[in-house]
Amino acid sequence: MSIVRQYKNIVSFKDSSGKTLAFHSQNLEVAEIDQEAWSAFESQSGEAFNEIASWSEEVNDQVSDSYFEDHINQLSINVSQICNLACTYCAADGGTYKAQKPIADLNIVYKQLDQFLKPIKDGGSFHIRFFGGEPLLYPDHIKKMADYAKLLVAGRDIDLRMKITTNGTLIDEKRAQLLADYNMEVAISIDGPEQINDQTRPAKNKKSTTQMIIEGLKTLAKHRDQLKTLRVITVFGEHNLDVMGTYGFLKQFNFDSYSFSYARSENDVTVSPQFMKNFKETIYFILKTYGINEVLKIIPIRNFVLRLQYQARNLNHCGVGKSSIQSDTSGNLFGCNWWMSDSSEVIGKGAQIFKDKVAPFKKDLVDLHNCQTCWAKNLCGGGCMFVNKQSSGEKHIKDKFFCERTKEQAQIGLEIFNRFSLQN
Amino acid sequence: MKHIKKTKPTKVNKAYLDKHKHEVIKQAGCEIVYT
Repeated sequence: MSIVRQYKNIVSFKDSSGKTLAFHSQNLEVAEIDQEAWSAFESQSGEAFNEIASWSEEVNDQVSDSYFEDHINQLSINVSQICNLACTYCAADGGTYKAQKPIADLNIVYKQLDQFLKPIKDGGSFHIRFFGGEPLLYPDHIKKMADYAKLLVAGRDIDLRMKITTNGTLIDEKRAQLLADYNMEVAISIDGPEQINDQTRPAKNKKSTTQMIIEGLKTLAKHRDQLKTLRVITVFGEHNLDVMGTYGFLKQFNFDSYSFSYARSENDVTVSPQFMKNFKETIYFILKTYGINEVLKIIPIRNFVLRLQYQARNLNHCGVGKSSIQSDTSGNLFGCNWWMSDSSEVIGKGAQIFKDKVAPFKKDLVDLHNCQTCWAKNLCGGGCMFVNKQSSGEKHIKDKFFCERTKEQAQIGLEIFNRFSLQN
Repeated sequence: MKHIKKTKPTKVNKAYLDKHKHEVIKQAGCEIVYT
């Protein structure tokens, strides 16, 4: 990470083009500063320092905190808990979450939809995400759930959004039509070109999956106008550090956005910085080659730019225990999908949420995770509890490599936002 | 201020960003996977 200088609420660093940027970590304001101001962070004296000190004390009334509704507005349903792939880094125990129930119980899902859709007021929204395992193993099941949800909102002014996360290997004409019929937000998991993806995301029978996904994407392309969005989810980590090559491969499919995430490992002391080096190189390559609009398709970067544009502080990295809930195939409710293998993480059953189990999550994650002194806290939202738990065994003890990556990505976001502004 | 020039929100890509504004105003799920 480039050197950061800090005075109270203001941090400063050199961007990739040599400009000196400063950031007000409470007001989410960005600025370019001159050499004198950069030096003033060290000397803490003079006119430039007085400006920095004065800016640090400013309160911007336009800044707001992102918020969660006080009821569930996002239900993730495990349609299945089996999968046809055997991904090397799978966080779902091969898609089963160690459970013996391969397909969701429709009666439980209907009750959950009844319960969670009830408090949604006119003008509100509700998101259903079909997850797994591989949800497209059971397209008819998805159709029944989607139809039931549509029936519940019929005649009500509710923005019902349906999302699906799939490995993309099973998309035939019937399944593509299903996704189109419900105007779904489709997220497809691919890790890169064949030589990478086939290694990290092989079929259970060891066969290549990349060609299956490409065929699926071709079929889906015929219905593209009827999909709400098409996103790719790519997991990097010690199994794949080739960000540039992966992006180059994915670009041909014309995704609306790219979720570039990272799987932690015991070797993060060397792997995490290497990933960030490659990530940065790729972002600046995209910026130079395709322009700023293409960079905005990269999800961690877009989120930061959006927060700066609308000055919306992020106090929570996720909605665990707040407005988001995940159901396994038996109707057990969890805060995070990746905790479904652990029965101690159950926070509800069927349509009932256990108040005592969600109470610990009611505080903002930036407070729960002691992020008070971090300059990036209002962009990050306190980090990922799943990663924390993997790293330390404790969901509220931060993973330092996650923090480092987030701060570096935030710096890129600050630079991109500033470059945007120069085009005004 | 003489030494500090604040960056203004962009107008150039405003339509695109406005389309995604909801992602950071009212939150729902996970910041990374299903914004």
